[in-house]
Amino acid sequence: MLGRLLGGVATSLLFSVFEAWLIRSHNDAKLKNYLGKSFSWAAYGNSIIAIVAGLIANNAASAFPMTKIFNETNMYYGGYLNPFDISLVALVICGFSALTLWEENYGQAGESDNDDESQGKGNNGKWYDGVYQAFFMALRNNEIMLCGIISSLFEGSMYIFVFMWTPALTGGDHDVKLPFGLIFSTFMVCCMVGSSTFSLFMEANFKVETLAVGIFGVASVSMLIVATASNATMKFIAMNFFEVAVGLYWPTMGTMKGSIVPESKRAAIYNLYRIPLNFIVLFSLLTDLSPTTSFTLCGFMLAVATGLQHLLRQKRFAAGGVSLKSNSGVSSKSSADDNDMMTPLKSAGSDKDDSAV
Amino acid sequence: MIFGSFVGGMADWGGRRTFVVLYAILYALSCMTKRKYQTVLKWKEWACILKATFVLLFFIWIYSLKRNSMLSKMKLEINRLPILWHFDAGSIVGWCGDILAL
Repeated sequence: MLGRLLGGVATSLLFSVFEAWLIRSHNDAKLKNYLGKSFSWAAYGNSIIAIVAGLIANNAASAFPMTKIFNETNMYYGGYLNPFDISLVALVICGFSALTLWEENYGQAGESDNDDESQGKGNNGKWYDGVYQAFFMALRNNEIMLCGIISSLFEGSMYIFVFMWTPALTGGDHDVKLPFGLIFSTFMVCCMVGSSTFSLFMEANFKVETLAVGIFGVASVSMLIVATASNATMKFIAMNFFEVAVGLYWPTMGTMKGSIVPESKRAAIYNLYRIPLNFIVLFSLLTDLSPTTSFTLCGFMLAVATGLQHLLRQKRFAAGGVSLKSNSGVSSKSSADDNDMMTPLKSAGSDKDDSAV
Repeated sequence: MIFGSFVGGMADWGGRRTFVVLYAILYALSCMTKRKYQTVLKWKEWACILKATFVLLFFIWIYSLKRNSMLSKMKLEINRLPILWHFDAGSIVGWCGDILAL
């Protein structure tokens, strides 16, 4: 129970803080135009690491059986505990590297306030002010709200896919032996193809808002094919297309969120985005849906995401929030710069203007 | 999930690098909990954990009082309060006894 609680908090941090740090660091280093490229490389590297980690974990788990440390205790080592021990080492290296190689950055309340570190903290308010203000900011700003709903719908579908691809391919028959390691590796290679394709789209001056509509559309059709196809090969091919969409999704959404979410509340808003996502996953797990129903639900959610993304794209274009130079994919103006929207927030504690990268 | 979002939401205030390090620590601790299989704690273990928690909370409370200058205004020096020394020594002896008795 304690392990799950710690793991849950850590997962929230994993999907928000790293990204928030990266965007602010690009901003500080005047490398905004390379943000999309960095996300693309991160997604590519992530897929390679996933394959390597899977192979290491598999070998480590079968290296030697689980054994008691002392006879009188119920502490064990070996067997399925080995991958956890290896990940512990990786985490120590990760924490130490961040501590020694990275510079600290905070939620910045304005482009001109680059000396926040000299003040010690990003905002002068109380520790809970960021979460409180981020909540109301997300509610009041349509673009932030839409971005959150879209990412929750896509990532929710992604998690449901993770739980359901095995029973979908085996047809629920436990006797069917498939090369699951090879299939997983194929999915990861498809992810790599997706993240590499993102770089090509950026070089062709595609706008991330437009690209996202296509990604969600392809993902939706893929999920509906997985749900309806009777042939396992057809299902597998559709799953690969979905994985390509996943590979494209991470850099696209990372870049888009970089331009929509204000820098001062970035980590807080990214964390709020995870709440509806978790509800979608919980719903899927608690209702114990069949693979066909799950993938139909995913297809429907992704179709809704496509429609909402189209709406968001129109809003962004109409508001002029999308930069002409789409090579970066990052706008010069944040949706949250709207002074009317920010007025009540300022009275809630922040006395600075908010702006995104 | 709400708790995780709340903790992560403080990264803008507390520093994002700090929270990246916190992530590594929390996930490492989460991995360490897997080591103990079939975790059915004995009542003595629970008592030991509860006692340690209460004592830790007590010291955090005293420290927060000190930080808020309440004690300094009363011209009291926390380290010279004999009752705390006794409490501290008693707790350590008690913990050692509990651990040895397990």
